[in-house]
Amino acid sequence: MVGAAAELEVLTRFGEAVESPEKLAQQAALAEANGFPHGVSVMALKDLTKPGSRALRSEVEKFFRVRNTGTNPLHRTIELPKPVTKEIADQFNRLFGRTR
Amino acid sequence: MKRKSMNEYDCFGSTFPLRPVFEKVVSLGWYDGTTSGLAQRSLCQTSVEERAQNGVLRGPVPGSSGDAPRTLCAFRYDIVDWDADQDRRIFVLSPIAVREFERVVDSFGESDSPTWPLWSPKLWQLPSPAKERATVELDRCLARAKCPEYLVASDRRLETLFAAKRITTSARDRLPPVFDGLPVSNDFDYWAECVGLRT
Repeated sequence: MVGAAAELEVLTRFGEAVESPEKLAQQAALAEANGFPHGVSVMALKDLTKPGSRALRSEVEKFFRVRNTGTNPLHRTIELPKPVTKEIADQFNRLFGRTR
Repeated sequence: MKRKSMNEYDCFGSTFPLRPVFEKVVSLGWYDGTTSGLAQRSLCQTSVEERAQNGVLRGPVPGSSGDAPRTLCAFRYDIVDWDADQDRRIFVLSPIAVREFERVVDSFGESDSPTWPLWSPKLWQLPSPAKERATVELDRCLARAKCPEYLVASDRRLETLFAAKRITTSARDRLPPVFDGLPVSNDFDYWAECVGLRT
């Protein structure tokens, strides 16, 4: 994805609580075992009233690679490095505004 | 007397957790785990018939032994809701013909190798003609699914069932006409109660 569309794409991560490195690693491993990149799911929803935390794709891409994956055209995978350390999880949580 | 089809019986029983449930799951929707797709289950035919004669199936049976003939049943599944961290997911199951399930597997299998028990075909990576063929087959299969029949609560992989029940009319009335691979509501407690899941 390039240009203005990518900059304006809003990624929704369902849930609101801070995510631990262990949990993120677990989800990334499950994704990888099922043919996805090592990472976690987000949706490029237009409906911003759905419950969840949000971040601009362009902001996320400053720290992580974001790939369009899956059968649903709105599904994205945020690739996470291995291992998923506390620093990585903290960065991830900060991007999605998760502080508790 | 007309013989009932496999899908007319309660094929999940009442003993939970139940694992494994499906021999083959084709995941079509994904969000840190499966959210929609097709699933196939086999049951031991002898046990099915015995239980059917008693008026109830307390399945499963499976895993079971031996050379007893087995009966297949297949479903389309769609996520209805999940808990706060998406670990427990409630799905609605709509019966499909086993041959429809197999056709979809064959069409995806042209360019991707199945990995059972859970397979996420990489439809988005297929070259155009194969993708179109697979999409046509898939749409045809999904359109032929019967009305939703069961609610089940499971893990992210549809591997372990925590609860399952036939769906009631009032619960069915809360379902949308079309599923999009995401929860249809934000009311996990309601659906958990419907499926008999302790929260």
